Amino acid sequence: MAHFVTREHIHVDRIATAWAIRRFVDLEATFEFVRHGRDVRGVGGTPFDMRGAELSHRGGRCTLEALIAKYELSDEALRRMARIIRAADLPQEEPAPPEAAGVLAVFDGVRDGSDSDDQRLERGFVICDALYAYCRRNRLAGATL
Amino acid sequence: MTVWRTLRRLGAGVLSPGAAILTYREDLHEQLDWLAQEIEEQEGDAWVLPVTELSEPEEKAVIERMSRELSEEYDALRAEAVSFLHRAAEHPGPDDAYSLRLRTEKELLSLQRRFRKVRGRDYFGADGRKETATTIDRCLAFRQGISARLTPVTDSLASERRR
Repeated sequence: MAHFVTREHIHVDRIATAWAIRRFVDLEATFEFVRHGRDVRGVGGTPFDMRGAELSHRGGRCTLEALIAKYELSDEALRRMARIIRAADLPQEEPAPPEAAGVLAVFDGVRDGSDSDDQRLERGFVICDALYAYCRRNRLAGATL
Repeated sequence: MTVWRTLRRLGAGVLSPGAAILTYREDLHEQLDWLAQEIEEQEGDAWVLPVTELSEPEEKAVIERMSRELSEEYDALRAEAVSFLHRAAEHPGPDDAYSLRLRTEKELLSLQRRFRKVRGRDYFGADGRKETATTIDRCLAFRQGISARLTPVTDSLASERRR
């Protein structure tokens, strides 16, 4: 059972990455949330979405995409979902899939309306399940029409 | 160059050749962290330092500096929107060819998209914002009904007023 560590007050990319870890990497993975600015070298587990961690933003890509690359996940729907997550996480980047703004709004609600990161994770996982199902069904998800 | 382009996209104000300042928001702080990480990976030095206090004159100078450029961008967008309105007679009607209508629609989408991008990094309400939004919304009267994404850009201003 792997233990993963990330920054507290989790939001779209961290939630989606944790979801993908559980779903595609380790069904029993556990998560810990530490304060922003914590040195990744001092955490007891695999850090993600933290400055200096291997699993974090790289070359304009989000952490979920780094996870997909590291674990060589070839699921096409997951890749489509990652494009949406990246655009929601980095709203200044272009081009953005049309779904991104709505996805960001929902995750903003999860972040602001939850009492703890565990609750954010639980609620966020439901959204990720739904978004993944959408991406499986809609091959064109991510098109900028 | 990529670093400065990213800073510009985030709406940062340049203080000196090596220093930029950005309004504090958790998500913006995070994006600065990623940028710093990228610089460090290329063996450069980068610091992300939260500013806890500025004197009033400093704050005023920073806001003015950050707003000046945005104001110029609003002016340029408004000039384009006015030009679009001046060409009113040329814009296609519902019975004209789809390609002509699509061209108009794309021009409107471009105006809307660029306005929203500027507004997204306008943290202090730079001069020209409201006038530009109103002018672009006047252009929307020439919508061709092709894109569902064409909506008035003043929506958020209106909802801000309602709060």
